[in-house]
Amino acid sequence: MNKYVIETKQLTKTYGEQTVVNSVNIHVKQGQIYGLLGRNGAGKTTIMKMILGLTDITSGEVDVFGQNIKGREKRVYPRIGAIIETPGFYPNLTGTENLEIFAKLRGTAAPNAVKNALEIVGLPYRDKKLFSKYSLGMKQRLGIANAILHDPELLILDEPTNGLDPIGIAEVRDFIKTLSIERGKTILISSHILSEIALLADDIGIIDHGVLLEENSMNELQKRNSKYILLQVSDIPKTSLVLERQFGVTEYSVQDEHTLRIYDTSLDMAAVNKALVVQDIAVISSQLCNDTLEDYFKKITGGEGIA
Amino acid sequence: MDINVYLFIVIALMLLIIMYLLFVLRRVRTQLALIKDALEDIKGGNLNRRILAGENDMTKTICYDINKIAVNSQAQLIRQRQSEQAYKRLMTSLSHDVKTPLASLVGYLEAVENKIVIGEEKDEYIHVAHEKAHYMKSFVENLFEWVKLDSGEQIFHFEKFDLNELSRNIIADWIPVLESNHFEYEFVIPETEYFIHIDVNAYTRVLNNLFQNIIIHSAGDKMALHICEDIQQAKIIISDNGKGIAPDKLPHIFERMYQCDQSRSAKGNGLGLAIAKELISVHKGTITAENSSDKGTVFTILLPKAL
Amino acid sequence: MTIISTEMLKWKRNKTVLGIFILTAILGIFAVERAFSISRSSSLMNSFSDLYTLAFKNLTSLFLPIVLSMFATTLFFDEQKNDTLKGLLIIPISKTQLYFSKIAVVIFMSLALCLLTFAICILGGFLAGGFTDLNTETILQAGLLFLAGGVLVPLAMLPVIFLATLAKGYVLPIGAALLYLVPVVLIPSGIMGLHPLASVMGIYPYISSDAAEMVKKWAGGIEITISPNICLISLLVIGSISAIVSVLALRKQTY
Repeated sequence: MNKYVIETKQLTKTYGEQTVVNSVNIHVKQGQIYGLLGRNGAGKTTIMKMILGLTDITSGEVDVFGQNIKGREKRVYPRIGAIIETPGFYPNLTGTENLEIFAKLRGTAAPNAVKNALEIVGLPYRDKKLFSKYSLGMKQRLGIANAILHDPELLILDEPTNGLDPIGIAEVRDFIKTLSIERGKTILISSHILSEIALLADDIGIIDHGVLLEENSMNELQKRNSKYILLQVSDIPKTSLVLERQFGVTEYSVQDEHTLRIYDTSLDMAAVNKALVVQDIAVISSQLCNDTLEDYFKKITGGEGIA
Repeated sequence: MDINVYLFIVIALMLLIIMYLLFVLRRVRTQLALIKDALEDIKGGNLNRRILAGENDMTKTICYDINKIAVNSQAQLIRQRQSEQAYKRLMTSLSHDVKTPLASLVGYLEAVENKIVIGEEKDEYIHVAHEKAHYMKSFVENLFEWVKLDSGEQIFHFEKFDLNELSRNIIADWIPVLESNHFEYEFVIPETEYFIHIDVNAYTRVLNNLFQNIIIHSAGDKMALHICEDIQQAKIIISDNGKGIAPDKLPHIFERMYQCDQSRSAKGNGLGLAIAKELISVHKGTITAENSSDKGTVFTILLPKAL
Repeated sequence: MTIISTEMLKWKRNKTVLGIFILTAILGIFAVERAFSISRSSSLMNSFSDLYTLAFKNLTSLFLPIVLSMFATTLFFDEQKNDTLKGLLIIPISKTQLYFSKIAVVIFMSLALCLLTFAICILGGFLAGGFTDLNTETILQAGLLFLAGGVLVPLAMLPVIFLATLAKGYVLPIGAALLYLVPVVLIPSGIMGLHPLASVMGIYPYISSDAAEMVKKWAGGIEITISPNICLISLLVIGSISAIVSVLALRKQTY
């Protein structure tokens, strides 16, 4: 069984001479949050629009739920909820009325869908306030409510925290996380902020100038984002004794029979090595892991970094 | 002429009705195809699949019911998967948490055994080793208790007890410990009797864990316990004047294996608060933590009078 | 069906719609005012048919085509302006569905305006009094004429609505609507069967003799001889072509 909920094959979009998306292959796994990271104008929104059929595909394919979407839009799109750019609603109607229109058009998966969706995002049901009077944060929330109105399997969220204040960002982030963990939704999310993606995503795709530079799991990337000294020695108990008695180190952990992690990276390793050798402990290797994700992204985007 | 006109109207009306019926039939048929499709999908294990129904669809209740079944089994599955994952996490951190102090314990004992240290230094080594062994003992005990609680194997004996009297008894045991750790203390417990259905061991355990937590982690020198009660519930407030808890960590302190210090330093085991929370929730109460306005942390327990 | 019903919901609290209805009411009241001020002995206002054909002509000659093209532009353009189009497309609603639901709304609007005027005429007729021929038969004839106008005028406007689907603003379609009206005002009888709006005028005479008289006066006294079937066919053909072209154009438009 194909476990990819979204798979693009050599997805390409050109506007005249300009190639906005260039042979992108992304793989969104079921039940995971996939973060599409890239600067503004890198091609994230265009990819999402092509998946949703909002813009023509120049070449390549998009498979959703294991099947090519071409010609199957009527069956596939009802299973997707999406926010693309800023959410659009009718300004002369209230939030509830707006959602009721979309609920009517799309059909619902359960009774009281509108009420529940509003409750989930924390907006009042049957409020008198017109959409045109909504603040940006409320608009964004209504957009999310609309995206989850029909309890879709797949959510495609384009910069869902754009324009929110820090508290709002944290709320939306928690909310997305809950959707994934407690409701098993598959989520494709785009952002130009590394820290945001790092906090949310299980898998990450980095896109720059329309090219997918790297696709990897966050766990894999997090390994490159750690600060510790990795010490491989012949005798762990003796080493721990040296560390505790001579260097006063308490923040370390034993990984396996020969490996230690020391979390205090300011430790003078030359002195430690010397002390260990004096105690007849063989040091197989010692290496300082001091990479941050930012450094890593700078590296792969060719020094420019992301946001 | 009149008859012709009426005939014409009747035929037109009938045609309209037939068209409407055909329309409904077609709608139902597409709905049925959709339901079949979705059921196939759900049967195949995709519990996220929903069937959307319009307000006036004949199949509405069927669709909603199918969705409900899928939602429920999905929730169950996710709960199961979550506990599995938590168990895995527990196993990995357990292995690290035992390995590290064990390695250092072995280190100390080896030094003594091999006569590397003598005299006063040897006594000190033995003392440290003794402490570490104690820590591991309590850690393993805690862990077992947690696992028992988590798997629901723990059996509780709820009896009618005077909460105030019980609290005073528990505190009495802690006074010498507080004094030897240079803590100033203040206890405000009503003189009246307040009978409540409670498991004595569990309640004792909760208070013990909170006291221990303050002594080990707060880094303060004052603590207080206040109890106030009304007809519905008892409120137990335990506060200290220590360093408090970082706001971003506050929401997680009741999760098992969560320790504020990133690395696993020798003290504490990250289980005490998780156990306390679990025990309180068995009493249908709540426990919350917040940073007090001036300094330190405030833990608040609410226990309902009637279970 | 659902799409059309939600289209209606979207117009709640909308000022444009309210404005259109108020303007139509005022226009109807003007005709009624004539009925009050002109004596029944004058040949201009000696029968109920004089009143309702006057109101009908006022409504459908210029006002209705312009208002409908404006309304259609708003229908299509607002969906883009409010950024709701993408929301609808990913439901998914096809552009074809969208187009036809909008056209249905335009027809409903047109019918509603015609019926409003019709109602004002009847009310005005009774209030002004003195109409000897104000009976069920004339009212039915009037109703039929208004109904025909309500359906046919939006169909005749389909070519202009095609522009509305493309428009990025209100100026182009309304300008086009005005241009579209020029030949109809100048030589209506000469282009019946060619120009949809003129074709519509070619159909009215077959509804009642009063309507025939109205069109005759309207066209500057020329007797209408063209067959209504030709007019209807021409109207439908041009309408269908416009609809097809509109749908194709909409589909081409990438969001």
